[in-house]
Amino acid sequence: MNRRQFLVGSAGLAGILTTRQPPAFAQTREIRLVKSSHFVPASDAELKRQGDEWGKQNRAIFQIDAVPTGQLNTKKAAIVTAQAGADLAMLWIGDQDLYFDHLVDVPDIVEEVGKKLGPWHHPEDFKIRGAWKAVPWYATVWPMTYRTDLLESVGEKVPDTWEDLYRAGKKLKAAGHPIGIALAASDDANFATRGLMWSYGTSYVGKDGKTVAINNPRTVEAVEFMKRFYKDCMEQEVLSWDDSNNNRCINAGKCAFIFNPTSAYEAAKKQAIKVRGSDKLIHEVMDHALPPRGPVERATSANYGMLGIWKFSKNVDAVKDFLRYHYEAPQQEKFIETSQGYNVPFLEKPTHHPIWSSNPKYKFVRDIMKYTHPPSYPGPSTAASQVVLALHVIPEMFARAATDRMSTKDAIDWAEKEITEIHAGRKRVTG
Amino acid sequence: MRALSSEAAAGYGFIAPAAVLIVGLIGFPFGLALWFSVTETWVGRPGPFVGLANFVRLAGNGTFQLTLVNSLLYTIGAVALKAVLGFILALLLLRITRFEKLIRGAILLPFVIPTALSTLAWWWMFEPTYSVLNWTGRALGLLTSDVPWLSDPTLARSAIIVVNVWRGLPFFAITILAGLVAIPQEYYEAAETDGAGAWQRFRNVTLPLVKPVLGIVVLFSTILTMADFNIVYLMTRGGPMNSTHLFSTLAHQSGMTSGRLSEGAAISLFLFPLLVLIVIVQLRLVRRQTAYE
Repeated sequence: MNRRQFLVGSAGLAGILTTRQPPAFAQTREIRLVKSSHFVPASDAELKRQGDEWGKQNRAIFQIDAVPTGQLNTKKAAIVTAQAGADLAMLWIGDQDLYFDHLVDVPDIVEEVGKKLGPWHHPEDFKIRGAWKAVPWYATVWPMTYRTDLLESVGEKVPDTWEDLYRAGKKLKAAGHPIGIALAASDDANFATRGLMWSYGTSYVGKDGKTVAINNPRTVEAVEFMKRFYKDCMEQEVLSWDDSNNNRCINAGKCAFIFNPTSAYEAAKKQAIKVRGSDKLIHEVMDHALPPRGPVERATSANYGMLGIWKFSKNVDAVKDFLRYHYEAPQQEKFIETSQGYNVPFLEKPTHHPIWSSNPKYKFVRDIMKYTHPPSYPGPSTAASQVVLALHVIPEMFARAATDRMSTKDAIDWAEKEITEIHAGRKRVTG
Repeated sequence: MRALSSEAAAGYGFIAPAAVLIVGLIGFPFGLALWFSVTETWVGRPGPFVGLANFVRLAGNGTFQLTLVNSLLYTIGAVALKAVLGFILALLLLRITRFEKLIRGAILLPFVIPTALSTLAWWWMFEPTYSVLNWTGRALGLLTSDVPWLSDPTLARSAIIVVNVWRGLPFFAITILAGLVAIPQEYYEAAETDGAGAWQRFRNVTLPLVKPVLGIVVLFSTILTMADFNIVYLMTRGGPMNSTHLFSTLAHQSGMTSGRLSEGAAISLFLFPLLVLIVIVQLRLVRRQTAYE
């Protein structure tokens, strides 16, 4: 090193020391997103591509930490406890309350995105304690998936109400093609049984999200209906189903109806599965329909995915910048496209994506968000509601009564006790 | 105070890393869990001290009571079966003289294969749509309708016990076999000279001398079986209707997936006094050994 080089070098070092700014080349930031691995891997690949593209323009490295869906909650709990490990997270709607103190408020982004691609569907569903703690991302919607040929063979039309479905289901089960609604410890079960309750005009919690409201005559009606439905239209196997069993049941040619996202149809199409004992492609005789109407309304629930920024992130502004980029129309379109229509946004404009309008089997997507409510409906998405979901209290209640292990009254009393206890526990910590 | 001799200092130096690991990886989490269990703590939100309220509430909770019953049925059922079948298997292995090493090695396989993999294979056998057991039963004309292996509470409980026994049997058999091999042949000869029959030889020589080994195996297995997680998590996730939940799976569901850390901690620590009791009783039984001088 000669004298000149030394001077240049030390001036540079002095500069860094006085401004406390590292030189630009060292300013590469790392943004880490933790999410559940997507059912359609191409969607995660597209998200990574967008992150890389954005990173190139912003001197940042974008990383995705994808974990199996069942482990996402555990992963987030670990991250929050350590106050490190990710900048951005895929949240379920109830996480906003659970992690309220650890999330950056994002009303600015929500408003901007809403103006560009909105309006948002049911924006009041997302706010928690009056604040925007995360940006709504996409729902995985729960229509009915059914076999058109089997339905025709028993002389029935697409069921509009639960009673229609019962009538068709009774004939279908007799013909060896039962209906498959999981009554087990799974998401499918959680959402389908909530939809049934709401359509009968009842819910487990009041509008305030605190009053436990499950013990009422309308719940009795809904449970009594399920008792009939379970015995006459379903088989015992629904008690042990996970979220993939119903897909297999319909694609194996057994089930006539399931309540599930469009994955069964997509899988059948991709693998060119044939109807058992014939050359017919099964996806050609499959279709989707809106969930059935009950005496009061038509309703279903869904996985509500959100994107939240951790307060302990060192790159909050950069993360916000990435979100703005991700929510631009071209990126949203690609994101939906690569997911094969699985990612249903909570925004009006992207819902008109050709992937849904061009395929008649996806025509329900335009309407289903009107009938889709968060699992805590009609209450806000509280941390307690997330526990009720995680412990599968509602499907358990239906299963206990449907199998006659408990009387209808005892099953509802049991659920009421569990839910009351969960709410009391949350109250002890939040005051 | 006397300074440590260099040898003693080196000794402490050598155990220090292990001690740090034990304190850091077992002691600290255990202490934290103890603390959580007497508070109302949620993820990201430390809560107030509530004393033993969590335990009192759990004792009155239907799901927890069911889990207690499940855990006892599972542990007693699986350990008893493993002990009896393991003993029989060990006695049979003792008689095998050809391909002895190969057979003994092969028997260990279920114990060696990662549980997650082998349990998934079992799950496929019991799974409702493609159950190979049901398919075989139908093909042979033994079954007219599918058996709801995992949907019926009794069958589901039996299924997870079967898988646990399958996995744990080799451990029992091989360890008991080691105990059998160690019995000096002279005892049997002496017993025979005294006119003892096969049953009497088993009753008065084999059993008492294998007892210490058997005791240790049963002790270990009781603890491991009661704390089992993988089999239930992969096969039934606690269902149907919570009828197969064990302490660990219920604690995971309550504490980890729903964020109520204190609830999860209380559920898993409920087990602790019971396990300590089992250990004390077992170790006492083992110490009361039979000795033939």
